[in-house]
Amino acid sequence: MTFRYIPVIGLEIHVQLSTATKIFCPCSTDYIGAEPNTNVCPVCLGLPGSLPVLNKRAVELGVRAGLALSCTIRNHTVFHRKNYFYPDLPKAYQISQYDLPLAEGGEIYIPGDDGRPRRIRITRLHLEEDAGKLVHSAADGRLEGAAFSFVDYNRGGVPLAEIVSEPDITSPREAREYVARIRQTVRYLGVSDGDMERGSLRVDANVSVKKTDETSGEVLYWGERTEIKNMNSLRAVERALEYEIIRQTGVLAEGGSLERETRHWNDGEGITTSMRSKEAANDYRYFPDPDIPPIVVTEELLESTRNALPELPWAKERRFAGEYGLPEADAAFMAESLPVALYFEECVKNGAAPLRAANWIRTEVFRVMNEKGLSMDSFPVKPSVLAELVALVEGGKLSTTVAREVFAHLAEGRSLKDALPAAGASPGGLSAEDVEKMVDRVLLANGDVVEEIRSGRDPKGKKIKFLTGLVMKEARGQADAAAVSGILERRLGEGR
Amino acid sequence: MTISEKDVRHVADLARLRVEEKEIEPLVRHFEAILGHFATLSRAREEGRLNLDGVDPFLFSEREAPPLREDEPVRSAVRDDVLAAAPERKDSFFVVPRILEEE
Repeated sequence: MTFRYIPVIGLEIHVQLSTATKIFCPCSTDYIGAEPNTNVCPVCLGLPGSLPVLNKRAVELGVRAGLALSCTIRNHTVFHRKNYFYPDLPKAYQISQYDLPLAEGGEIYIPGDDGRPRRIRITRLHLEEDAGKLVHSAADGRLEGAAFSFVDYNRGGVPLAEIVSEPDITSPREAREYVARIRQTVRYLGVSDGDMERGSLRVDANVSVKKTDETSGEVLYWGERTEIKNMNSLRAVERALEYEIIRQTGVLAEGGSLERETRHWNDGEGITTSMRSKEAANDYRYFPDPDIPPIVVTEELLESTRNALPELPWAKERRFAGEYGLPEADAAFMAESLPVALYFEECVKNGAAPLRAANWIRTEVFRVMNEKGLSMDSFPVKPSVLAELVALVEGGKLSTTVAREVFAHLAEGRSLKDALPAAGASPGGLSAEDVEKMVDRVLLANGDVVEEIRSGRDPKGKKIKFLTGLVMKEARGQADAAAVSGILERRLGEGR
Repeated sequence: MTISEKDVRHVADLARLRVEEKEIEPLVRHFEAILGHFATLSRAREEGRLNLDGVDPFLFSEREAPPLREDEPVRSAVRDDVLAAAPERKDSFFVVPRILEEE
């Protein structure tokens, strides 16, 4: 019997919601780079007698994300206390949600491994508070053997939405696609900035491997699952899962067994390592937080949120492909982020041919953005200006090569009027007279070729093409090649 | 409802409570009394003596939905006092015994 090992992956994604204040108190959420323990108050420090009051915006953003992921939104949702002791949690419980989450039963589509769209079911989306941050390396610079940890509660109480998928993901690549899709969606929605490196989007993966009979497909054995933490980029998600699946498959293939544990991804070494297993620690003794009565999500809120949903990435991709005739890959690229999509459409509205505009954005605009570390919003070339440039190329008034030079000047902050001559192109393109003069100069400088053509020694038209090329070079691509060869033919015919 | 001494120790452990040996036995009886009461209710329901159809679990004494807060930052003045009262601090950090869950 031959065996096949099939991975089963489910992901939990925590996204920090883009609110100005924490979920249960009015402290600022601006914790990155802030002095430790500045944005704290009795509520998020867990002082006795303080009471949580839920942030309306957090609920709105949660509902927004839930609706975009096609979830059902509960009209009554309840917060629970998740009890555990850890110094980043001053109350000794995290306010989270348990069996009555804000949103349930959604779905999202990703490009599957077979190229076809694959549906990934979303179990639930619930709201909870973030924990504080522990700094293990000493603040006084000592790294090794420090006997203390340092606690900063600025992040404690920042609102999170936890999005839990069903175990529908079957490969590391699909996991990466799923995370990318969720990140893209929360960014489109303005629900979170989704920055994985800064930790505003964090991914935990549950992965197991089942051993099946290659021929019958029958599941022979299902290995225990592990949870992987600390994957701080899309690439890390993919690599960590690749590693873990190989590791688990290896154990099962040798007849070993796996234990349920949490493993830590070490990006530098490219391995997962077992974290101290917490046998009793998973006994969280959830119970409804008596300080927070059930939250009512009104029909009005649902309706207004639904109406205010932006066009979602997958709808935009479809529209770009349909309305503008972009190939799938281009459509996906243009719809990748809202700023790029806006830039692209602004370009097209200003008269640029969609496919050409898309090509320019993919190549030149992104090259310059990457080189200069710019964002789309701060990009110096306005879409209307790029549209003008693209139209000049489209109309045959500018070669792509020269247009690129013009673009480089535009990217330096020059206006199109200044950028054209700077790249050796004339602002209004070339007049017919200009082209005639260039033809004259080329004919004069190439008397021998002219003579050969006139005496009929150019049966295949190669020599006239050569002359056309010389004129085009002189015109720096601003002349129309067909027009130039027309002029040449006329002029060469004249003196015969 | 049978509660073992082990259960009591486990719950105490989770709550980080130190329970003296002589307290264990009385606690077992307390637990059994409380849980036994609910077991009586469950039994009554199973035997059809208690009809709970359409009755939701009673989780909150508050019947009204709580007011929500607008998303407007307010700075609290409590920080310096709290830091000053901390058993140990370093600059504006709270200091705790080193805890590493990883490794």
